[in-house]
Amino acid sequence: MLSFKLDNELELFRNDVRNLAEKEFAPKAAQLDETEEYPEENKNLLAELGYLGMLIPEEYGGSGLSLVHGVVFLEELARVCFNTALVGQLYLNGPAKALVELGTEEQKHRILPGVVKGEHLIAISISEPGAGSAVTDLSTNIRKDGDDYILNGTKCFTTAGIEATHSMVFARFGNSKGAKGIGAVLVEKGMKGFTVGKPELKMGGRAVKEAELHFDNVRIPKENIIVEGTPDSNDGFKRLMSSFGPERVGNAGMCVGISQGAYETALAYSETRQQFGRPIAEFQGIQWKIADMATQLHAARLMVYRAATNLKNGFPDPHDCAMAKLFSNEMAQKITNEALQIHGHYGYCRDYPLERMVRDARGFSLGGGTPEILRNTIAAQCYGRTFNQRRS
Amino acid sequence: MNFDLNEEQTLLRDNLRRMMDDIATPEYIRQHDEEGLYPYEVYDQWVEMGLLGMPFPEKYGGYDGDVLDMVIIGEELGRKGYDFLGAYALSVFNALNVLNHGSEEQKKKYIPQVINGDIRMSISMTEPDAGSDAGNMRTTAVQDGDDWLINGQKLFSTAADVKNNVINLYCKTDTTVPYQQGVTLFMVPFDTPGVEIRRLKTLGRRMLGTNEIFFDNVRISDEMRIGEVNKGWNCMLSGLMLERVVTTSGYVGNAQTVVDQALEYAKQRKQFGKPIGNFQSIAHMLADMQTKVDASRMLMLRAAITMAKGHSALREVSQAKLFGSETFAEVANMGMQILGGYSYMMEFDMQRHYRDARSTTITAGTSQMQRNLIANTMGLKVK
Repeated sequence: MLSFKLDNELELFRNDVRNLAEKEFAPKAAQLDETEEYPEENKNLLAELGYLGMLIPEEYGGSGLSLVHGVVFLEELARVCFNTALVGQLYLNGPAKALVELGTEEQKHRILPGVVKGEHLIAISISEPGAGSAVTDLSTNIRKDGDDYILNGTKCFTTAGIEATHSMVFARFGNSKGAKGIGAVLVEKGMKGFTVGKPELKMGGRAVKEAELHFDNVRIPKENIIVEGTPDSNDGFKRLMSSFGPERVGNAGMCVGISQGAYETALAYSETRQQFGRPIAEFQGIQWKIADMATQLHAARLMVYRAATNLKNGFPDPHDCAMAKLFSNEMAQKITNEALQIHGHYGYCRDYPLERMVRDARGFSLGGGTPEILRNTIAAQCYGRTFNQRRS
Repeated sequence: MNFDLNEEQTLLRDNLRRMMDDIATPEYIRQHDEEGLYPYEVYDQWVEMGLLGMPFPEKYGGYDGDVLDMVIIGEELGRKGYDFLGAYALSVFNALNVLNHGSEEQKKKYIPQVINGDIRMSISMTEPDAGSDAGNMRTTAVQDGDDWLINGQKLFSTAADVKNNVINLYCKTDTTVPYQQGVTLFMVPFDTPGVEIRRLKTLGRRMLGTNEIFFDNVRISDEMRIGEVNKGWNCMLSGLMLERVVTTSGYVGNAQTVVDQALEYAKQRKQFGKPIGNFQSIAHMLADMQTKVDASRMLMLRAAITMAKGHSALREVSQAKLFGSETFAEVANMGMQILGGYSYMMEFDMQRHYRDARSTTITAGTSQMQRNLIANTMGLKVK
């Protein structure tokens, strides 16, 4: 029999995170958005309580909890403060998780204990001005030079690129084309020739800014190569992309969390707001909105939990990830917008969290694999073959 | 029904477009949005061009324009951003109330001042507990000799704190009768003692600003009353159709800009070795966007033409407002998706269109209220 219930231990875990989030993060959520300051204090608290290393194996100082724990954790943070959840996602599911999967023992022992303590932050750097959805067009180049490597190029939209101590940079080894030859290296803050551009101000998730990274003949020791690309194979790229499955699941989990927050806020508001002599919850037009929101939220949550539990070799199925992220991304836009609509013009004003939630939720569909790219992935699976997007 | 513009209308549209292109540059708009600055420089140009006089009779300095002229203006101003139309429309709509309900003396005094830019006008009706249910308002005006004393609180009042503004305030003057019979309209200069205006922080529409207004024993002479005592509800209703159709023309203009900018981007932006506009999915998104914007424009023009013929147009106007605002919000969202990660960056315009569009299904009658009105014209009694 299938059981769609979380077991007791997970529900207790959820309660702990919810209590923490409501007590510590909810009161500061609006302020973080307003000041656009990196949530350093929140991060430190999460490190202190051991949450940042929760998915990292115990041998590197973490707690080795399951991906579902990670989803529940991000859900609860995003429910009250998306900026804090975004920081959590960077520590839990993004490059840190990829390093666990792909890094050498030496790299993991060198870097992961610092991640657990919140002292190290690994940013992920893939997009370039000319290579967004068409990621395999990336041109950042790395070449061998004696025992070392030399890195050149420019990356954009690197989340927390300013605060990061390490960046996991996708680069092209040699003069290959397309997916062939792509690998990844760790660039450390302070390396000669590595500069971080000014922050790129954005509409939502404002406390965790994005930045351009510039590499001008940066010398990379061979110990910092995570995946070496080979010009005649796309193997490295495939391994890299599959290690980012958990990031997609985490992203979808945050969608569920922020939507849950918006839904609860709208539900409560509709019971208290009086117009035409009665609570607006008494109008069927509002009731059906709430019913639709609850249904979509439920569907998204099931998809995310399925993706987080249906693992092969510890990693989620790419098809599950793509569908969960696609559905959740678009669901989050709809639900936050409907919640704003239920609040009327109050929802448009900053005294309520709705306008912030709409801005924050809008970003899910613009990064980490857009819904458009995910549809390509899903269609490829449906047809059992990939379609060449470059065909003219 | 003829949707073509005549020679004069074409000239109006072209001149206005040229003028707006010159002054409301992308940098100007970005800066004014970012810093929440009222577009005084653009407004001054409208005054110089005589635009504020469009719907007023010649005897008060106007041009006797009709509803079609107004929607042409609305669409052109909206092209640069909905708030530009907002700035224009606030002064004009409220001055139209003076024209339709004021005394001869008030008309001679205030309409020319609006036309020549000496004063601006804004409206204040919504209260914390009176939104869609506007009749629930509690701000009161009580007669005190030749004056009125106003007390209460208003909310979501757009552009109330700008230079030389006169707030057109609806408040209760008889609390013992149903609202339709007990509301009166007053003109309250924004710097009258006892008026305190606080700007609210909003998702979008930041040029004009949205405000909370507190009235603490504000003394206003009876000369500032527009229309009869307790007949303010009629003033409000009489202008509503024109306001909604012109507002909708602004949505159409802004939505068209969204499509234009997304199209331009889709032609320029290359991924997978070709312009993204050549991908069927993106091309279909753009086809849908333009189709919906054109449909909005047709609904808006049908409403305007029906009104110009002197017919009742409640259903036509409500449908145009509903579809126009929902379309604007939808195409702005699709525009975001087409521009990808860039759209989310504050230095690109699409995020501003998206933020501005989000207000339009709420203000000037929410989409939910429009649906009620439409259903009522279909013989349904919606509760």
